Parts: sequence; C-alpha cells; structure tokens
Amino acid sequence: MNSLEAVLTRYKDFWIVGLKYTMWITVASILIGIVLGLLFAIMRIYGNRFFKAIAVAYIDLIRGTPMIVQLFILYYGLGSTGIVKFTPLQAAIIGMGLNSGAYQAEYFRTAFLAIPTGQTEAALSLGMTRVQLIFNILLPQVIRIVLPSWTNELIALTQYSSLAMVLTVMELTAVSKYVGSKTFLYIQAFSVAGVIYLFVSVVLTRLMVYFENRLSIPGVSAQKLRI
Amino acid sequence: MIFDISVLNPSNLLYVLKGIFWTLFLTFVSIGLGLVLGSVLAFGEVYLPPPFSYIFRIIGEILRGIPLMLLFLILYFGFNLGMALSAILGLGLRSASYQGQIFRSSLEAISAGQMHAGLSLGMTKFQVFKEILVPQALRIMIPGWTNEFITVLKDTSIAFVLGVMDIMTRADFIARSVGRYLEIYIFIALIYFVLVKISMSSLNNLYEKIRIPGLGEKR
Repeated sequence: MNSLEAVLTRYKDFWIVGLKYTMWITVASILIGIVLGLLFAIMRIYGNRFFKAIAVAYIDLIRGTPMIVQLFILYYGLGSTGIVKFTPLQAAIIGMGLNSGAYQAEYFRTAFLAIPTGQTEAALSLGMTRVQLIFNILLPQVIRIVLPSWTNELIALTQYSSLAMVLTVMELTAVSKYVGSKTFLYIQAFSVAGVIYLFVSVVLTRLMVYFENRLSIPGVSAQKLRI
Repeated sequence: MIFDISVLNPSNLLYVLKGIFWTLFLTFVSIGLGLVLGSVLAFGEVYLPPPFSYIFRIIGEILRGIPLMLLFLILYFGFNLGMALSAILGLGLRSASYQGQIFRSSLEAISAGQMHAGLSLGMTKFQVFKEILVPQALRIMIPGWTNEFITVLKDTSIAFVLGVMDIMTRADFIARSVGRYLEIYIFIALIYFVLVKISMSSLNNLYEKIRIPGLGEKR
C-alpha cells in the first residue's frame, strides 16, 4: 500500500495532466470524427460518382491501415517535408479525428440506410429540398440511431489515445511509464493507469446511455430501426 | 523535394518487407491464442455457476477496458517478459476478450430448441455441444471474426513500442537512418492495406465456402 501511495501522491500532478491530455485527445478527435463522418456518409450516399469515389477511397484507405502509421505519416512524414508542422498534440488529435471520421462515416451510412425510404419519398413529394430532407427529417433520427456506436467509438478512442505516447504526448499511458521508470514500481504505476482507463470508460458508457434514454422518441425505438 | 522516390530503393524496401514475417507471425499466433482463451472465457461466462462466471466476466471487461499499449507495457516492464512474448500475450489476451464475445453471441444465435431436441434424443449435453452447437457457431462466427482478424493485423503495429522487428519497427528504423519519413511510412501503409485486403477477401471466400445456406443470413 505504501508503494501505491508513493506512485499516486508524489506524482499526482502528472496523473492529472495525463488524464487531461487523454480526455482532450479523445473528445477533440471524436468531434472532428463526427463532422468528417457525416460529410463522408452524405457524400457516399447522396453524392455523384466523383464524390462517392472520394468517400469510398478515403474510408477504405483509413480503415485498411493502422492508426499508428497514420499518426507517423502526419507527424514525422509531413513534419519532415516542412509543408505543415504539427505539434505532437495537434498531430494526435488531427490524426485520430481523421481516423475516426472514416469509421463514423460507416456508422452514419448504416444509420441513414436504416431509415425507411418512404420518409424520403414523402419529404420530396412535399416539395422539400434535399438539404431540408437531410437536416430536418433524416438527421434527427440518424443521430439517435448512431448514439450507441458513438459509445463504442468513444471508448475505442480513449484507448487508442495511448498511441499519442509515441508522438511524445504526455497522456495517461506515457505518464504511467514515466512514473514507473522513476520509481521502479512499474506494476503499481500501470495498475493506476489501468484503473483510470476502466473508470473513464465506465463513466463514458453511463453518460452515453443517459443521453440515449434522454433523446429517445417514445414509441420510435432506435433499437427497432437498427436492422 | 517533398517526395523523394530514390529512398524507396530495393535494399531499403527489402529490409522493410522482411518484417512481414513478424507481422503475420504475431497476427496468426495471437489470433490462435485468442481463439483458445476466448472460448474458455466464453464458456466460463456462460456455463459456470454465478460466483465463477463473474470472475471470467470481470477478466474480459478489464482486458477490453485498458489500451493495448498499456497491456504491452505491463507485460514487458511489469512482468519482465521478453518482447516477443509480451507482444504475443498482449495481442492474444486482448483478442481473447473480443473473440470470447463473438463466440458467445454466435452460440446464443442458435435457437435453444436445438439443445432440447438433442437432449430429448438421448444425447448428453457435451455431445449436443460438440456435434450440434459448436459446428454451427463456428460458421456464424466468421464475419465477426474477420473484423477481429483485421483489427489484430493492424494492431500488431503497436508492438513497435516493444521493438519487435515487424514492418512498422523496420520502417521506423530505415526512416530514421535515412532521414526521410514520408515515403517509407506511405509505403508501409500500402503494405498494411494490401495485407488487410487480402485477408478480408480470403476470409470472405472461406465464409462463402463453408457456410450453411440459409444459416446466419443477415437478420
């Protein structure tokens, strides 16, 4: 217990900074991912052949390569050419946002396709434009369908944010490694990090379930719409 | 020069490509380990009486809840396992927790009537399991399992932090020694992409070949 205290109290500030970076990376990248995902999903479903091809290629390429390689291309690759020079934190957030965008595009696409086509026909026959159709009719339902996938994505991103460690961001895993190497109490330091990760994912799951219940339309269950 | 093609000369490429061995070795061994441990986890969770089943469930939750990177570091620094062993165990344990879930859900997708039918024909519970449920569950499992395979294939790149000589580590090594990063990393991104596509299409072919027509169709 003594050793655990040494790991926790003496390095309290480090743990707090680590948690802050982890959460910051996760939240920022999921927000980028939502915007990109929506954009690519709409491009893929409603776009002409050109936009569709771009969206498909993007989603395929991102989902077919490891996130760590993407982060390295962004940080070391682009950084060494001198076109854009990101700080490690920026590279981590942008890289994970781009990555999440491809995955979320697929969630959004399946959600769009889960809504009965009758609604699209009805909206168009009432004289709505496509933009109105997407934003007024489909999107409010799509968001409700996609919420459970966001829970998974949030937790996945919380875990993958540990990759920012190789870009020298001091997030939770990097902090635990640092504390471990300082005190030689590796197992204790890693356990603390593990417990924090578990705690964060439990809290995030609860929060998302709350939102799901809060947003659900009585009688229209998202469960039923998801095929 | 933004993109210097001369970095991608045969000797550099060959050096990087040798890493495919480790990448595939890690993938297959840890998928295999994950399959064995995952079925143990799934059985424990479903068929053991409550106090024991909770233990299996908590183990699964923990393995799913902590980042792979942290798992690697725990095994490598905490338990002082070698780098290859840490990589295999880390990937395998994590994959076990996911494969257990895939296996469990495909077992549950088979209707309980088959169990009753088997028992009423005089088969023992184990026989029903071995002869009737598992052969079907394994087939239903394949699409979910394909995703898991690809995830593990991509996640082998994280073993880079341990220094296992896979594609990623070798690419990083070459990139640092030559001082050109973009070309090499784009090259390995393409290698991973090709590997993912190949494994995806071959597993889909396998599924088409061994699936029972009508069983496990999109519901």
